[in-house]
Amino acid sequence: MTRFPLNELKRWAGMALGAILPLAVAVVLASLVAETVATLERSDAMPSFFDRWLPSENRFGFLDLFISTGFAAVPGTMLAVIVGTLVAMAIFLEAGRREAIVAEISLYVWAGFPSVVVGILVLATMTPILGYSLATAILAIAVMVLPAYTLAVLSVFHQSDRAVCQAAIANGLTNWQLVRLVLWPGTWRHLAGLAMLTFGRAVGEATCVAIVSGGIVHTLPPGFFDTINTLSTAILRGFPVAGGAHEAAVYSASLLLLALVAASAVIGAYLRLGEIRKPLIARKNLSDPVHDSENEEA
Amino acid sequence: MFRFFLRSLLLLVTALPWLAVAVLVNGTEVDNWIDFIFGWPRENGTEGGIFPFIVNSFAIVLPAIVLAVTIAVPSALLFQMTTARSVAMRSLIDLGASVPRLVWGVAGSLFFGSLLGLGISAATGILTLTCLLAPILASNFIDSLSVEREKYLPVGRALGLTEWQSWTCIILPVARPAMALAIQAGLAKALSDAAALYLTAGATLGILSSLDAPASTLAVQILMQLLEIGGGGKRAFAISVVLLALVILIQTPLILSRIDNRR
Repeated sequence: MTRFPLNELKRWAGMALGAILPLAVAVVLASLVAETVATLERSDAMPSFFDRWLPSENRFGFLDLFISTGFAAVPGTMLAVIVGTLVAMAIFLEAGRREAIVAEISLYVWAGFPSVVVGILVLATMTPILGYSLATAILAIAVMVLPAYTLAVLSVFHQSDRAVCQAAIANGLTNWQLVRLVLWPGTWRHLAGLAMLTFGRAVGEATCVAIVSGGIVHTLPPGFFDTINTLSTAILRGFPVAGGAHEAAVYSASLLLLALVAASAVIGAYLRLGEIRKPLIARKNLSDPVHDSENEEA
Repeated sequence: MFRFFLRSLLLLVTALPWLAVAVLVNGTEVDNWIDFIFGWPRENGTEGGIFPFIVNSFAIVLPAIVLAVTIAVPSALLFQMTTARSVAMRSLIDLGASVPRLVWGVAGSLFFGSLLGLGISAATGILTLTCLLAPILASNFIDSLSVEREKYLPVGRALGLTEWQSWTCIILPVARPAMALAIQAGLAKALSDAAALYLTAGATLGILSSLDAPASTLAVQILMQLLEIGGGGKRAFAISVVLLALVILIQTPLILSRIDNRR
Protein backbone atom coordinates (compact mmCIF):
# COMPACT_ATOMS: atom_id res chain seq x y z
CA MET A 1 0.00 0.00 0.00
CA THR A 2 1.44 3.39 -0.96
CA ARG A 3 1.90 5.82 1.90
CA PHE A 4 -0.19 9.01 1.87
CA PRO A 5 2.19 11.76 0.66
CA LEU A 6 1.74 14.01 3.70
CA ASN A 7 5.06 15.79 3.22
CA GLU A 8 4.24 16.55 -0.43
CA LEU A 9 0.85 17.88 0.62
CA LYS A 10 2.42 20.11 3.28
CA ARG A 11 4.93 21.33 0.73
CA TRP A 12 2.26 22.33 -1.78
CA ALA A 13 0.09 23.89 0.93
CA GLY A 14 3.12 25.91 2.06
CA MET A 15 3.83 27.01 -1.50
CA ALA A 16 0.21 28.06 -2.03
CA LEU A 17 0.23 30.02 1.25
CA GLY A 18 3.51 31.65 0.20
CA ALA A 19 1.94 32.99 -2.98
CA ILE A 20 -0.76 34.84 -0.99
CA LEU A 21 1.48 37.76 0.04
CA PRO A 22 2.69 38.93 -3.39
CA LEU A 23 -0.81 38.35 -4.75
CA ALA A 24 -2.39 40.36 -1.92
CA VAL A 25 0.03 43.27 -2.47
CA ALA A 26 -0.68 43.22 -6.21
CA VAL A 27 -4.47 42.94 -5.83
CA VAL A 28 -4.85 45.62 -3.13
CA LEU A 29 -2.64 48.13 -4.97
CA ALA A 30 -4.31 47.29 -8.32
CA SER A 31 -7.69 48.00 -6.73
CA LEU A 32 -6.40 51.46 -5.79
CA VAL A 33 -5.44 52.10 -9.43
CA ALA A 34 -8.76 50.73 -10.74
CA GLU A 35 -10.85 52.71 -8.26
CA THR A 36 -8.90 55.90 -9.02
CA VAL A 37 -9.61 55.51 -12.74
CA ALA A 38 -13.27 54.69 -12.08
CA THR A 39 -13.71 57.66 -9.72
CA LEU A 40 -12.05 60.01 -12.21
CA GLU A 41 -14.44 58.82 -14.92
CA ARG A 42 -17.46 59.17 -12.62
CA SER A 43 -16.59 62.64 -11.40
CA ASP A 44 -15.49 63.74 -14.88
CA ALA A 45 -12.85 66.00 -13.32
CA MET A 46 -9.22 65.26 -14.13
CA PRO A 47 -7.02 66.95 -11.51
CA SER A 48 -4.52 69.35 -13.07
CA PHE A 49 -0.85 69.56 -12.16
CA PHE A 50 -0.94 73.34 -12.65
CA ASP A 51 -4.03 74.27 -10.62
CA ARG A 52 -4.33 75.10 -6.93
CA TRP A 53 -5.67 72.67 -4.26
CA LEU A 54 -8.61 74.63 -2.83
CA PRO A 55 -11.39 72.23 -1.74
CA SER A 56 -13.59 75.13 -0.57
CA GLU A 57 -13.63 76.42 -4.19
CA ASN A 58 -13.95 72.90 -5.65
CA ARG A 59 -10.48 73.19 -7.21
CA PHE A 60 -8.27 70.14 -6.88
CA GLY A 61 -5.00 70.81 -8.69
CA PHE A 62 -1.76 69.31 -7.42
CA LEU A 63 0.40 72.44 -7.67
CA ASP A 64 0.11 73.35 -3.97
CA LEU A 65 0.66 69.79 -2.85
CA PHE A 66 3.71 69.17 -5.06
CA ILE A 67 5.41 72.40 -4.10
CA SER A 68 4.65 71.90 -0.40
CA THR A 69 5.87 68.30 -0.53
CA GLY A 70 9.10 69.27 -2.29
CA PHE A 71 9.73 72.30 -0.07
CA ALA A 72 9.26 70.21 3.09
CA ALA A 73 10.68 66.80 2.11
CA VAL A 74 13.85 67.90 0.28
CA PRO A 75 15.28 70.19 3.01
CA GLY A 76 14.03 67.80 5.73
CA THR A 77 15.83 64.89 4.09
CA MET A 78 18.97 66.97 3.43
CA LEU A 79 19.08 68.06 7.06
CA ALA A 80 18.66 64.47 8.26
CA VAL A 81 21.23 63.15 5.78
CA ILE A 82 23.89 65.72 6.72
CA VAL A 83 23.37 65.45 10.48
CA GLY A 84 22.87 61.67 10.32
CA THR A 85 26.09 61.10 8.36
CA LEU A 86 28.05 63.29 10.76
CA VAL A 87 26.58 61.49 13.79
CA ALA A 88 27.39 58.10 12.26
CA MET A 89 30.95 59.32 11.64
CA ALA A 90 31.16 60.54 15.22
CA ILE A 91 30.07 57.16 16.56
CA PHE A 92 32.34 55.26 14.16
CA LEU A 93 35.47 57.40 14.44
CA GLU A 94 35.33 59.30 17.69
CA ALA A 95 33.21 57.47 20.24
CA GLY A 96 34.65 54.98 22.67
CA ARG A 97 33.00 51.62 23.20
CA ARG A 98 30.62 52.75 25.96
CA GLU A 99 29.81 56.05 24.27
CA ALA A 100 28.97 54.19 21.06
CA ILE A 101 26.67 51.76 22.89
CA VAL A 102 24.80 54.56 24.68
CA ALA A 103 24.52 56.57 21.44
CA GLU A 104 23.22 53.57 19.50
CA ILE A 105 20.67 52.70 22.21
CA SER A 106 19.45 56.32 22.10
CA LEU A 107 19.17 56.17 18.31
CA TYR A 108 17.24 52.88 18.44
CA VAL A 109 14.85 54.34 21.03
CA TRP A 110 14.45 57.47 18.89
CA ALA A 111 13.84 55.39 15.75
CA GLY A 112 11.01 53.63 17.58
CA PHE A 113 9.14 56.88 18.36
CA PRO A 114 5.69 56.71 16.73
CA SER A 115 5.15 59.50 14.21
CA VAL A 116 2.21 60.90 16.21
CA VAL A 117 4.52 61.20 19.22
CA VAL A 118 7.16 63.00 17.12
CA GLY A 119 4.35 65.23 15.84
CA ILE A 120 3.20 66.15 19.33
CA LEU A 121 6.77 66.79 20.53
CA VAL A 122 7.51 69.11 17.61
CA LEU A 123 4.13 70.75 18.19
CA ALA A 124 4.98 71.39 21.83
CA THR A 125 8.55 72.57 21.35
CA MET A 126 8.70 74.21 17.91
CA THR A 127 5.28 75.63 17.07
CA PRO A 128 5.47 78.22 19.90
CA ILE A 129 8.59 79.59 18.15
CA LEU A 130 7.97 78.88 14.44
CA GLY A 131 4.17 78.47 14.36
CA TYR A 132 2.36 75.99 12.12
CA SER A 133 4.72 76.40 9.20
CA LEU A 134 6.99 74.99 6.54
CA ALA A 135 9.95 75.37 8.92
CA THR A 136 8.23 73.25 11.58
CA ALA A 137 7.31 70.63 8.97
CA ILE A 138 10.95 70.46 7.78
CA LEU A 139 12.10 69.92 11.37
CA ALA A 140 9.40 67.31 11.99
CA ILE A 141 10.46 65.36 8.88
CA ALA A 142 14.15 65.59 9.81
CA VAL A 143 13.45 64.39 13.37
CA MET A 144 11.33 61.55 12.03
CA VAL A 145 13.81 60.16 9.49
CA LEU A 146 17.15 60.98 11.10
CA PRO A 147 17.62 58.02 13.51
CA ALA A 148 16.80 55.29 10.97
CA TYR A 149 19.14 56.90 8.40
CA THR A 150 21.93 57.30 10.97
CA LEU A 151 21.69 53.66 12.08
CA ALA A 152 21.71 52.50 8.45
CA VAL A 153 24.80 54.62 7.68
CA LEU A 154 26.49 53.29 10.78
CA SER A 155 25.75 49.77 9.60
CA VAL A 156 27.37 50.60 6.23
CA PHE A 157 30.44 52.02 8.02
CA HIS A 158 30.70 48.90 10.17
CA GLN A 159 30.78 46.78 7.02
CA SER A 160 33.80 48.73 5.80
CA ASP A 161 37.10 48.03 7.51
CA ARG A 162 37.51 49.61 10.97
CA ALA A 163 41.08 48.39 11.35
CA VAL A 164 42.10 50.25 8.19
CA CYS A 165 40.50 53.43 9.52
CA GLN A 166 42.45 53.09 12.75
CA ALA A 167 45.65 52.44 10.78
CA ALA A 168 44.96 55.53 8.69
CA ILE A 169 44.58 57.63 11.85
CA ALA A 170 47.80 56.12 13.23
CA ASN A 171 49.55 57.12 9.99
CA GLY A 172 48.62 60.72 10.58
CA LEU A 173 45.63 61.18 8.30
CA THR A 174 43.38 64.01 9.45
CA ASN A 175 39.70 63.29 9.95
CA TRP A 176 38.85 64.95 6.64
CA GLN A 177 41.49 62.89 4.83
CA LEU A 178 40.19 59.76 6.51
CA VAL A 179 36.67 60.48 5.36
CA ARG A 180 37.73 61.56 1.84
CA LEU A 181 40.30 58.83 1.17
CA VAL A 182 39.10 55.90 3.24
CA LEU A 183 35.39 55.95 4.07
CA TRP A 184 33.85 57.90 1.21
CA PRO A 185 35.21 55.98 -1.83
CA GLY A 186 33.85 52.67 -0.60
CA THR A 187 30.51 53.75 0.74
CA TRP A 188 29.20 56.75 -1.21
CA ARG A 189 26.83 54.73 -3.41
CA HIS A 190 25.28 53.10 -0.38
CA LEU A 191 24.92 56.43 1.42
CA ALA A 192 23.31 57.96 -1.68
CA GLY A 193 20.95 54.97 -1.88
CA LEU A 194 20.03 55.36 1.78
CA ALA A 195 19.43 59.08 1.22
CA MET A 196 16.99 58.24 -1.60
CA LEU A 197 15.16 55.73 0.60
CA THR A 198 15.03 58.36 3.35
CA PHE A 199 13.57 60.85 0.88
CA GLY A 200 10.84 58.33 0.03
CA ARG A 201 10.05 57.98 3.71
CA ALA A 202 10.01 61.76 4.15
CA VAL A 203 7.58 62.18 1.24
CA GLY A 204 5.27 59.53 2.67
CA GLU A 205 5.31 60.89 6.22
CA ALA A 206 1.78 62.02 6.98
CA THR A 207 0.79 62.13 10.62
CA CYS A 208 3.62 64.13 12.16
CA VAL A 209 3.57 66.61 9.25
CA ALA A 210 -0.23 66.93 9.43
CA ILE A 211 0.01 67.86 13.12
CA VAL A 212 2.43 70.76 12.57
CA SER A 213 1.95 72.00 9.00
CA GLY A 214 -1.33 73.88 9.17
CA GLY A 215 -2.94 71.98 6.30
CA ILE A 216 -3.52 74.85 3.87
CA VAL A 217 -1.41 76.83 1.39
CA HIS A 218 -1.98 80.60 1.44
CA THR A 219 0.92 81.73 -0.73
CA LEU A 220 2.83 80.02 -3.52
CA PRO A 221 5.67 79.30 -3.18
CA PRO A 222 5.23 79.10 0.59
CA GLY A 223 7.56 81.14 2.78
CA PHE A 224 9.56 79.65 5.62
CA PHE A 225 6.90 80.63 8.17
CA ASP A 226 3.79 79.97 6.02
CA THR A 227 1.47 77.02 6.46
CA ILE A 228 1.71 74.19 3.91
CA ASN A 229 -0.31 71.22 2.70
CA THR A 230 1.71 68.26 1.40
CA LEU A 231 0.44 65.33 -0.70
CA SER A 232 0.25 63.09 2.36
CA THR A 233 -1.45 65.63 4.65
CA ALA A 234 -4.03 66.42 1.93
CA ILE A 235 -4.85 62.71 1.70
CA LEU A 236 -4.97 62.22 5.47
CA ARG A 237 -7.22 65.22 6.04
CA GLY A 238 -9.28 64.82 2.85
CA PHE A 239 -9.96 61.09 2.65
CA PRO A 240 -12.50 60.76 5.50
CA VAL A 241 -14.64 63.65 4.22
CA ALA A 242 -14.06 63.55 0.44
CA GLY A 243 -16.80 62.97 -2.16
CA GLY A 244 -17.12 63.49 -5.94
CA ALA A 245 -14.23 65.39 -7.50
CA HIS A 246 -12.49 65.71 -4.12
CA GLU A 247 -12.58 61.92 -3.71
CA ALA A 248 -11.13 61.41 -7.19
CA ALA A 249 -8.40 63.94 -6.44
CA VAL A 250 -7.53 62.25 -3.13
CA TYR A 251 -7.24 58.86 -4.85
CA SER A 252 -5.08 60.39 -7.60
CA ALA A 253 -2.90 62.02 -4.94
CA SER A 254 -2.48 58.60 -3.27
CA LEU A 255 -1.34 57.10 -6.57
CA LEU A 256 1.09 59.97 -7.13
CA LEU A 257 2.47 59.51 -3.63
CA LEU A 258 2.86 55.80 -4.25
CA ALA A 259 4.66 56.50 -7.55
CA LEU A 260 7.01 59.01 -5.90
CA VAL A 261 7.88 56.67 -3.03
CA ALA A 262 8.27 53.64 -5.33
CA ALA A 263 10.54 55.66 -7.68
CA SER A 264 12.78 56.76 -4.81
CA ALA A 265 12.87 53.16 -3.51
CA VAL A 266 13.89 51.85 -6.95
CA ILE A 267 16.62 54.50 -7.36
CA GLY A 268 17.78 53.84 -3.78
CA ALA A 269 17.92 50.09 -4.39
CA TYR A 270 19.82 50.62 -7.67
CA LEU A 271 22.40 52.82 -5.96
CA ARG A 272 22.88 50.25 -3.22
CA LEU A 273 23.49 47.41 -5.68
CA GLY A 274 26.78 45.66 -5.18
CA GLU A 275 28.70 45.02 -1.99
CA ILE A 276 30.29 47.67 0.17
CA ARG A 277 33.84 48.15 -1.08
CA LYS A 278 36.69 47.88 1.33
CA PRO A 279 38.53 51.18 1.71
CA LEU A 280 40.95 52.10 -1.04
CA ILE A 281 43.95 51.94 1.29
CA ALA A 282 42.97 48.42 2.36
CA ARG A 283 43.06 47.19 -1.20
CA LYS A 284 46.35 48.90 -2.04
CA ASN A 285 48.51 48.57 1.04
CA LEU A 286 47.01 46.49 3.77
CA SER A 287 45.86 43.38 1.97
CA ASP A 288 44.56 40.43 3.97
CA PRO A 289 47.20 37.64 4.08
CA VAL A 290 44.62 34.89 4.69
CA HIS A 291 42.55 35.79 1.64
CA ASP A 292 45.66 36.46 -0.43
CA SER A 293 46.96 32.95 0.21
CA GLU A 294 43.52 31.53 -0.68
CA ASN A 295 43.56 33.48 -3.92
CA GLU A 296 47.04 32.28 -4.77
CA GLU A 297 45.97 28.67 -4.18
CA ALA A 298 42.97 29.17 -6.40
CA MET B 1 37.73 71.76 15.90
CA PHE B 2 36.04 69.18 13.69
CA ARG B 3 36.46 66.53 16.39
CA PHE B 4 34.90 68.86 18.95
CA PHE B 5 32.01 69.49 16.58
CA LEU B 6 31.48 65.75 16.03
CA ARG B 7 31.58 65.05 19.77
CA SER B 8 29.08 67.84 20.50
CA LEU B 9 26.76 66.49 17.83
CA LEU B 10 27.08 62.99 19.30
CA LEU B 11 26.21 64.28 22.76
CA LEU B 12 23.23 66.19 21.42
CA VAL B 13 21.84 63.22 19.48
CA THR B 14 22.39 60.87 22.42
CA ALA B 15 20.57 63.20 24.80
CA LEU B 16 17.76 64.24 22.46
CA PRO B 17 15.44 61.20 22.71
CA TRP B 18 15.67 61.19 26.51
CA LEU B 19 15.02 64.94 26.58
CA ALA B 20 12.01 64.28 24.37
CA VAL B 21 10.73 61.66 26.82
CA ALA B 22 11.23 64.16 29.67
CA VAL B 23 9.33 66.87 27.76
CA LEU B 24 6.53 64.39 27.11
CA VAL B 25 6.26 63.25 30.74
CA ASN B 26 6.42 66.85 32.05
CA GLY B 27 3.75 67.94 29.60
CA THR B 28 1.13 65.60 31.02
CA GLU B 29 -1.42 66.69 33.60
CA VAL B 30 -2.45 63.28 34.91
CA ASP B 31 -3.16 63.12 38.65
CA ASN B 32 -3.61 59.39 38.90
CA TRP B 33 -1.99 57.19 36.26
CA ILE B 34 -3.86 54.05 37.41
CA ASP B 35 -7.22 55.76 36.86
CA PHE B 36 -6.00 57.13 33.55
CA ILE B 37 -4.78 53.78 32.22
CA PHE B 38 -7.66 51.65 33.52
CA GLY B 39 -10.47 54.21 33.32
CA TRP B 40 -13.06 54.84 30.61
CA PRO B 41 -13.19 58.01 28.53
CA ARG B 42 -15.77 60.69 29.39
CA GLU B 43 -17.03 63.93 27.82
CA ASN B 44 -16.47 62.78 24.20
CA GLY B 45 -12.97 61.62 24.94
CA THR B 46 -11.72 64.89 26.41
CA GLU B 47 -11.58 63.47 29.95
CA GLY B 48 -11.33 60.15 31.74
CA GLY B 49 -9.21 57.09 31.05
CA ILE B 50 -7.90 55.31 27.99
CA PHE B 51 -8.50 51.65 28.83
CA PRO B 52 -10.67 50.95 25.72
CA PHE B 53 -7.96 52.32 23.44
CA ILE B 54 -5.30 50.09 25.02
CA VAL B 55 -7.55 47.03 24.60
CA ASN B 56 -8.46 48.05 21.04
CA SER B 57 -4.77 48.52 20.16
CA PHE B 58 -3.94 44.95 21.10
CA ALA B 59 -7.23 43.57 19.74
CA ILE B 60 -6.35 45.01 16.31
CA VAL B 61 -2.58 44.64 16.30
CA LEU B 62 -2.24 41.07 17.60
CA PRO B 63 -4.52 39.39 15.01
CA ALA B 64 -2.85 41.49 12.30
CA ILE B 65 0.61 40.31 13.42
CA VAL B 66 -0.55 36.66 13.55
CA LEU B 67 -2.05 36.91 10.05
CA ALA B 68 1.01 38.75 8.71
CA VAL B 69 3.39 36.12 10.09
CA THR B 70 1.16 33.34 8.74
CA ILE B 71 1.50 34.64 5.20
CA ALA B 72 5.00 36.12 5.46
CA VAL B 73 6.80 32.94 6.61
CA PRO B 74 5.59 30.77 3.66
CA SER B 75 6.35 33.67 1.29
CA ALA B 76 9.91 33.89 2.54
CA LEU B 77 10.25 30.11 2.27
CA LEU B 78 8.72 30.08 -1.21
CA PHE B 79 11.14 32.80 -2.30
CA GLN B 80 14.13 30.93 -0.88
CA MET B 81 13.08 27.56 -2.31
CA THR B 82 12.26 28.60 -5.86
CA THR B 83 15.38 27.97 -7.88
CA ALA B 84 15.03 31.07 -10.04
CA ARG B 85 14.43 33.35 -6.97
CA SER B 86 11.57 35.12 -8.66
CA VAL B 87 12.42 38.75 -9.35
CA ALA B 88 8.72 39.58 -9.65
CA MET B 89 8.00 38.14 -6.22
CA ARG B 90 10.84 40.01 -4.52
CA SER B 91 9.87 43.21 -6.33
CA LEU B 92 6.26 42.91 -5.10
CA ILE B 93 7.42 42.24 -1.54
CA ASP B 94 9.82 45.22 -1.66
CA LEU B 95 7.14 47.41 -3.21
CA GLY B 96 4.73 46.40 -0.44
CA ALA B 97 7.36 47.18 2.19
CA SER B 98 8.08 50.63 0.77
CA VAL B 99 4.44 51.74 0.32
CA PRO B 100 3.67 54.50 2.87
CA ARG B 101 1.22 53.57 5.63
CA LEU B 102 -1.13 56.28 4.45
CA VAL B 103 -1.37 54.73 0.97
CA TRP B 104 -1.99 51.32 2.57
CA GLY B 105 -4.77 53.02 4.52
CA VAL B 106 -6.40 54.40 1.35
CA ALA B 107 -5.94 51.13 -0.59
CA GLY B 108 -7.15 49.02 2.35
CA SER B 109 -10.17 51.22 2.88
CA LEU B 110 -11.04 50.89 -0.82
CA PHE B 111 -10.42 47.15 -1.16
CA PHE B 112 -11.54 45.75 2.19
CA GLY B 113 -13.91 48.56 3.18
CA SER B 114 -15.68 49.31 -0.11
CA LEU B 115 -15.09 46.39 -2.49
CA LEU B 116 -15.43 43.60 0.11
CA GLY B 117 -18.08 45.56 2.00
CA LEU B 118 -16.43 45.54 5.43
CA GLY B 119 -16.79 49.32 5.81
CA ILE B 120 -14.87 51.33 8.39
CA SER B 121 -14.34 48.59 10.93
CA ALA B 122 -11.85 46.69 13.05
CA ALA B 123 -11.83 43.91 10.42
CA THR B 124 -10.77 46.39 7.70
CA GLY B 125 -8.12 47.76 10.05
CA ILE B 126 -6.77 44.29 10.86
CA LEU B 127 -6.62 43.24 7.20
CA THR B 128 -5.01 46.51 6.10
CA LEU B 129 -2.46 46.27 8.89
CA THR B 130 -1.77 42.69 7.79
CA CYS B 131 -1.07 43.90 4.24
CA LEU B 132 1.16 46.66 5.62
CA LEU B 133 3.15 44.39 7.95
CA ALA B 134 3.44 41.20 5.89
CA PRO B 135 5.82 42.55 3.21
CA ILE B 136 8.06 44.16 5.87
CA LEU B 137 8.15 40.90 7.84
CA ALA B 138 8.66 38.80 4.70
CA SER B 139 11.58 40.99 3.63
CA ASN B 140 13.20 40.56 7.07
CA PHE B 141 12.49 36.82 7.08
CA ILE B 142 14.09 36.41 3.64
CA ASP B 143 17.25 38.11 4.94
CA SER B 144 17.30 35.97 8.10
CA LEU B 145 16.72 32.75 6.14
CA SER B 146 19.34 33.51 3.51
CA VAL B 147 21.99 33.84 6.24
CA GLU B 148 21.14 30.38 7.60
CA ARG B 149 20.60 28.86 4.16
CA GLU B 150 24.28 29.15 3.30
CA LYS B 151 25.25 27.33 6.50
CA TYR B 152 22.63 24.63 6.86
CA LEU B 153 21.29 23.62 3.45
CA PRO B 154 24.43 21.58 2.63
CA VAL B 155 24.11 19.95 6.09
CA GLY B 156 20.54 18.89 5.30
CA ARG B 157 21.62 17.48 1.95
CA ALA B 158 24.44 15.55 3.61
CA LEU B 159 21.92 14.06 6.02
CA GLY B 160 19.81 12.86 3.12
CA LEU B 161 16.89 15.20 3.80
CA THR B 162 14.76 16.61 1.00
CA GLU B 163 15.02 20.37 0.47
CA TRP B 164 11.61 20.90 2.09
CA GLN B 165 12.66 18.89 5.14
CA SER B 166 15.94 20.81 5.38
CA TRP B 167 14.04 24.08 5.39
CA THR B 168 11.33 23.09 7.86
CA CYS B 169 13.40 20.87 10.21
CA ILE B 170 16.75 22.70 10.28
CA ILE B 171 16.87 26.17 8.74
CA LEU B 172 13.54 27.53 9.98
CA PRO B 173 14.13 26.53 13.64
CA VAL B 174 17.67 27.96 13.51
CA ALA B 175 16.43 31.27 12.05
CA ARG B 176 13.60 31.51 14.59
CA PRO B 177 15.33 33.95 17.04
CA ALA B 178 16.08 36.46 14.26
CA MET B 179 12.54 36.09 12.95
CA ALA B 180 11.13 36.64 16.45
CA LEU B 181 13.00 39.95 16.65
CA ALA B 182 11.55 40.97 13.28
CA ILE B 183 8.08 40.15 14.64
CA GLN B 184 8.73 42.30 17.70
CA ALA B 185 9.76 45.20 15.47
CA GLY B 186 6.58 44.66 13.44
CA LEU B 187 4.48 44.69 16.62
CA ALA B 188 5.98 48.03 17.67
CA LYS B 189 5.44 49.41 14.16
CA ALA B 190 1.81 48.27 14.18
CA LEU B 191 1.13 49.79 17.61
CA SER B 192 2.62 53.09 16.40
CA ASP B 193 0.57 53.23 13.25
CA ALA B 194 -2.00 55.98 13.10
CA ALA B 195 -2.43 56.88 9.43
CA ALA B 196 -3.58 53.50 8.07
CA LEU B 197 -5.85 52.69 11.02
CA TYR B 198 -7.35 56.20 11.10
CA LEU B 199 -8.61 55.64 7.54
CA THR B 200 -9.67 52.00 7.97
CA ALA B 201 -10.64 51.18 11.56
CA GLY B 202 -12.13 54.59 12.26
CA ALA B 203 -12.34 56.26 15.63
CA THR B 204 -14.73 55.62 18.50
CA LEU B 205 -14.56 55.96 22.25
CA GLY B 206 -15.80 52.48 23.12
CA ILE B 207 -14.11 49.14 23.53
CA LEU B 208 -14.11 46.83 20.49
CA SER B 209 -17.38 44.89 20.57
CA SER B 210 -17.30 43.12 17.20
CA LEU B 211 -15.11 42.93 14.14
CA ASP B 212 -17.56 44.90 12.01
CA ALA B 213 -17.57 47.86 14.43
CA PRO B 214 -15.05 50.72 14.30
CA ALA B 215 -12.38 50.86 17.00
CA SER B 216 -9.83 53.44 17.96
CA THR B 217 -6.25 52.53 18.91
CA LEU B 218 -3.94 54.63 21.11
CA ALA B 219 -2.09 56.15 18.14
CA VAL B 220 -5.35 56.98 16.33
CA GLN B 221 -6.72 58.53 19.52
CA ILE B 222 -3.68 60.83 19.76
CA LEU B 223 -4.20 61.89 16.15
CA MET B 224 -7.91 62.47 16.84
CA GLN B 225 -7.11 64.57 19.91
CA LEU B 226 -4.79 66.77 17.86
CA LEU B 227 -6.65 67.05 14.55
CA GLU B 228 -10.32 66.81 15.47
CA ILE B 229 -10.88 67.42 19.18
CA GLY B 230 -10.08 71.05 20.04
CA GLY B 231 -7.76 71.65 22.99
CA GLY B 232 -6.80 67.99 23.23
CA GLY B 233 -3.07 68.69 23.51
CA LYS B 234 -2.60 67.85 27.19
CA ARG B 235 -4.56 64.61 26.88
CA ALA B 236 -2.64 63.69 23.72
CA PHE B 237 0.58 64.14 25.71
CA ALA B 238 -0.61 61.70 28.36
CA ILE B 239 -1.71 59.10 25.78
CA SER B 240 1.65 59.56 24.02
CA VAL B 241 3.48 58.68 27.23
CA VAL B 242 1.56 55.40 27.49
CA LEU B 243 2.06 54.58 23.79
CA LEU B 244 5.77 55.39 23.91
CA ALA B 245 6.23 53.29 27.07
CA LEU B 246 4.56 50.33 25.36
CA VAL B 247 6.64 50.72 22.20
CA ILE B 248 9.93 51.04 24.13
CA LEU B 249 8.98 48.03 26.27
CA ILE B 250 8.33 45.91 23.17
CA GLN B 251 11.51 47.10 21.47
CA THR B 252 13.88 46.63 24.42
CA PRO B 253 14.90 43.01 23.60
CA LEU B 254 15.28 44.01 19.95
CA ILE B 255 17.54 46.95 20.80
CA LEU B 256 19.64 44.89 23.20
CA SER B 257 20.12 42.10 20.68
CA ARG B 258 21.15 44.53 17.93
CA ILE B 259 23.65 46.22 20.23
CA ASP B 260 24.93 42.79 21.28
CA ASN B 261 25.37 41.76 17.63
CA ARG B 262 27.24 44.97 16.86
CA ARG B 263 29.85 44.46 19.63
